[in-house]
Amino acid sequence: MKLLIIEDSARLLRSLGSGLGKMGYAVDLVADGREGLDYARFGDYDLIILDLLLPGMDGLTILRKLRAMGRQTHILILSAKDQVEDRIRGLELGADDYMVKPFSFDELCARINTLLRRRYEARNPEMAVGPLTLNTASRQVLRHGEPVHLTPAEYATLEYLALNRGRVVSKEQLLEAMHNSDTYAGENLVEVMVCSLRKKLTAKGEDPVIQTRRGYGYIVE
Amino acid sequence: MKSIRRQLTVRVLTGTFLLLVIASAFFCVIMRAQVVREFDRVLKARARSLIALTSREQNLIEIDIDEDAMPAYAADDGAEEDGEPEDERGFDDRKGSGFYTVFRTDGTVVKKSSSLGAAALPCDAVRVQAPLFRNIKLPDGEKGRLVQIVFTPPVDEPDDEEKDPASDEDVALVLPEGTDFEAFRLILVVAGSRERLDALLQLTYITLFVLTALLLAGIGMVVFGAVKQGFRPIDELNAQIECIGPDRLEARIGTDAPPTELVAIQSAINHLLERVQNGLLRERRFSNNVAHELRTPVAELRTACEVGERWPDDPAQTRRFFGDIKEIALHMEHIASSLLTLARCENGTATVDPVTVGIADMMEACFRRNQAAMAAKKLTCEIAVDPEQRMTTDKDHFRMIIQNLVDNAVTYSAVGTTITGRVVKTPGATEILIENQVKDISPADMQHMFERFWQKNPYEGDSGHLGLGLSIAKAIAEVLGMDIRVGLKDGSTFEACITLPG
Repeated sequence: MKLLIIEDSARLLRSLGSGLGKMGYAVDLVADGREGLDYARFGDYDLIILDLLLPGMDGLTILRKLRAMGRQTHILILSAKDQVEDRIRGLELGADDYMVKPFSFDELCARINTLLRRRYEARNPEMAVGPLTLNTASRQVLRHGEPVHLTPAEYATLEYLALNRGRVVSKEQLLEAMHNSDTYAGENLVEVMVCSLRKKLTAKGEDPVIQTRRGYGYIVE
Repeated sequence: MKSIRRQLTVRVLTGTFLLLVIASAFFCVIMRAQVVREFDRVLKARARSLIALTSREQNLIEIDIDEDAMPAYAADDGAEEDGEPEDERGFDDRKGSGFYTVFRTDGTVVKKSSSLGAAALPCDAVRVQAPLFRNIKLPDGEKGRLVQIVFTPPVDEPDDEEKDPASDEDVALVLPEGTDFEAFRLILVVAGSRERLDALLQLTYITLFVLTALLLAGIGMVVFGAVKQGFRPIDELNAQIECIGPDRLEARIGTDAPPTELVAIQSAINHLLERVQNGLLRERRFSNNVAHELRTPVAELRTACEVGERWPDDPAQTRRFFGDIKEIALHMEHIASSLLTLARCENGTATVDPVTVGIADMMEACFRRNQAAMAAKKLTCEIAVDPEQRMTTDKDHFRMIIQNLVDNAVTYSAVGTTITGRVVKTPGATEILIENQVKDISPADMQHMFERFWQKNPYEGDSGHLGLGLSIAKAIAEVLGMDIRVGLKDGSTFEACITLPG
């Protein structure tokens, strides 16, 4: 899952980037409003976390412009403005959620998960994929009821494939969704990640949960 | 609780009552004196007419009073009188209502009216020529009044006809031989009933009392109405003031045409309300600003702590977070110290230690501290101040003022421009001017320049700025007896001017 955070506080950007990265999200960090709008326009993000008071361009303008362009990316406003009018204005302009600073990191993660599920129309945090059960809230994977230990990157790859269940996901899409814009990652990194997942999730004699569509990408049925 | 309205009403009514009572009493006294004087005049006229009927012919004293012609002195036999009705006659014309007694100076009665019967009027021992009046009790028991006159019987030319004193009814007294006729005196006492006089006086008193009471009641109603009417603007103001609460400070009191006496009060209250409203708004804005300034660093702290706590086994991340936490602590310390400086300046606890300070040296030092920022924005500075120009003030506080103004100029100057610092002497004042070229600042922004936490574009430029610099500079300047004003010249030159004391 790929997130964009547009926030003027460099320290907050660092903490959020670090924490959400460790959660398995690919996170792009931007501290300037105009630059943030460019990232949002040209990047394919699952969620944008947007501050309101920004240098260059304020958050509400960015929000208005994105919606005017037809971008339907989910947007969570994260602002020090705590007045009800501010929240109403943000939500009316097209934001999907509003959080006031200071905030709980766990709550932020929960809201991000909720918005991502909504994006992939998966209301239930538990998804059954063959012998696997994914809990997107606790980020836990069970195979035949037994927990499987996955790294955050492996979990994020599996979750992305599961959320796009029945659709072929190309290697480029996976790369785009799993890695932020500053990190260089080749397609072989995707192959390594999928290979590692198959080993952990498939027992001998079973069909692999993640199947390859040669020339197109991967699919979870 | 004291009520001005009640006090005013009571005082006006009491004063009016007293004035009316005094006026009535005075009127009564005057009226009574006039009536009694008139009564006495009539009494005296009667006495004079009786004296005119008295004469001396040689040694005979004749008193020719015909009681048939003067029925007042006749005995009241109860018979009806002819003529006009009793209540249309004078107050002492009734039959038997008049009394007289003629005395010799030794007190012996010479002649008296039939109306006295066996009694006689009292004769005062005082033998003065002037008529003497006093109240008495008449023989019939009624109240009366008398006049006592000492007189010399007028001399009558002797008739040719010989008179017999024994048979002549008019001869009242025969004087013995050798009497000094010139010195001979008689005393006439004439009295009349006071009944009608007293009735008239009583009627006057009652009429006056009733009139006074009616007048007082009328005045009371007029005063009550006038006070009520007069207090209506105050009542309206009270009602308006009662409606004002913490949530309705925008309300103002008064009417379109307030009474002259209330103009100053109304204006003062409205001015006070405006100040309270502005103060509360400023306080709310200040609290909001402080809270807002603290929200972001607190959010930074909390997120760093929560992320660090969740993944504690990443030494690089932990080190980075500690660095961030230190920065946040320094930023919050800056906020706290700025607010404390402001508070100390405002509550008068800032200490002042005057020393001699070189203005040019101070400016150069402040610009030096901004060298890196000036280089980044390609700014230059010109200090046109005499190096020998010195002043006596608190060095640390003065440096804070100059530093804040220079920091401000560096932060908000347009790239590649020049900041100038100079001293200008005007008649009666010395001013330090710091000027820089700015963009996106309008004359309307000038009124906000000293507002706490106000920033034209809060997220432009260095994010370490709080919007407190000019507020602090102004507060410190006031402590040092200086004044700071700011202005915009030609639309792009921002000028901060410090007026030095003296």
